[in-house]
Amino acid sequence: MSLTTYDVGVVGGGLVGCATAFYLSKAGAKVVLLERGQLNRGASGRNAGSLHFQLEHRLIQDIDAETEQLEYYVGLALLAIKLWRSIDSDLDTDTQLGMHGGLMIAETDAEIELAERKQRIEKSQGLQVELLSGEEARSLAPYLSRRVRAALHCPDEGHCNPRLVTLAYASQAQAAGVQIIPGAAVTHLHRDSNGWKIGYSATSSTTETVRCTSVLNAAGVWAPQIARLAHLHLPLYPVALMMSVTERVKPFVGHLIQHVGRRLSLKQNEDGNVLIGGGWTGRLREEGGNWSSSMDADIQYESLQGNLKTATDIVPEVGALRLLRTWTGSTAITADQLPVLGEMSEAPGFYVAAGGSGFTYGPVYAKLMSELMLTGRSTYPITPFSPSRFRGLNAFMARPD
Amino acid sequence: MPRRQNKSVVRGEPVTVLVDGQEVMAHGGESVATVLLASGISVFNRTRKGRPRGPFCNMGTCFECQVLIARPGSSRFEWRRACLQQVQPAMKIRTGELISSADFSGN
Repeated sequence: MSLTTYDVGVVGGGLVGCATAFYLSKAGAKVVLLERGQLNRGASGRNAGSLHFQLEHRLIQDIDAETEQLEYYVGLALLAIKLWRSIDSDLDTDTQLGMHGGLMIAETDAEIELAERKQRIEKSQGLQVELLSGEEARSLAPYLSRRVRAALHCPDEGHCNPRLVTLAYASQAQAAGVQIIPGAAVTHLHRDSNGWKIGYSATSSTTETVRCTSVLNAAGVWAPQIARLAHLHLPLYPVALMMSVTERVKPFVGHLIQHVGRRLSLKQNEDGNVLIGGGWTGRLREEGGNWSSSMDADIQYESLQGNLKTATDIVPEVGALRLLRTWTGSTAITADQLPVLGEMSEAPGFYVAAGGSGFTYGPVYAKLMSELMLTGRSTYPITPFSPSRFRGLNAFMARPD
Repeated sequence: MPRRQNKSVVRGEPVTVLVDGQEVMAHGGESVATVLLASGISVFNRTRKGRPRGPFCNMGTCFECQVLIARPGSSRFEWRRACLQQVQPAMKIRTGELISSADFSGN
């Protein structure tokens, strides 16, 4: 029996999977992408589309301990800015991209001090950020409340429409020859002397197999399960986040709003809806003693109340708007909150790209991973994010050759 | 042009509403969507690119049927789903307006 052979098998049809498939195929690789459900239905399609190039609230809570890694992450932000600026022309589409600037709010003395330290790290790596006073922030953004005492302005930040970006990458990837197979749940991963074999369910009763030189695990919150098929630990944990959207109203918020010390992300899209989020937790479901991978997380009303109060504290006019809907999305996080990018040395040819702000950095992770997979090197080093930092977990997991 | 079916139908009390400044006869218990469709209006609002929109799901989930409504005695117009809003005497309705032009006072 001869199997169809590909250079790369991508597992996961979210932003990272589709974008890596695109960059790989543009570089001449033969690629198959296996998505167990439909493209873009996980976190990639549920987030608020923030393009936040400043260090986020979640990364700066322990700022002294992580300075070196954070500097490194800022360097990645500069690449991400370049990629996003050209995304519409690269993908020959309109992704509703807006990069008109972001403001990260500080209300208290402690937050202002944290903003100053954060700014030093960011500026040292060449990111354009400026600490504005409350008055300066309000002259730039008159919709901000008087509670705002300072704001870090990053002129490159903004938003994009997550419902369009992944599908644009997928469409261009297909045009460049990638085989995209939805409804294909990967059930087997096997490495032999000729590379990898991926078994997937094609229907409820049949399975298919493809052969690939390399496999990319881009399965988001399901990445640990895919790694398990290769008999490897991948220490990513699910977290459920909530998003809300208001009715449409004429444009009044022109920036991406975030907060140094509170959980908030707020922006207005091209249609006039205001999207509100910022890391408020939903409640994960459990199934058979594990976190459920098939059921959506539940909304928690305390989170919704907290999120909306924070939003109206900073942008009071939002309080007059009607909420259309609230939803949850689950993404995967590591203990150090940084992404996992690279090859798992215990299983040569098995690559991972997961975790770590996968929307803002998705295209840049994808581009760098495609370089790594095809040439063994990337144009910006991603070794700090390598899965080798977890090698202790897999010392006794790799199958003997 | 859509018409009400009157054979073997008992309708509510006659109600007069204002639609785009014109008086329109309706019946108590009808939704604004019904009244608008029955008077030949299919463009309930327009998108920011000016494209026409009208009722789709008819059950309050799609938000395509929104129109500007001011309660009797009020001059404050607010966007409301026409499929969920029952007509009231002297209610004022504005159709065909750009939905993303709304400001906070609904003017």
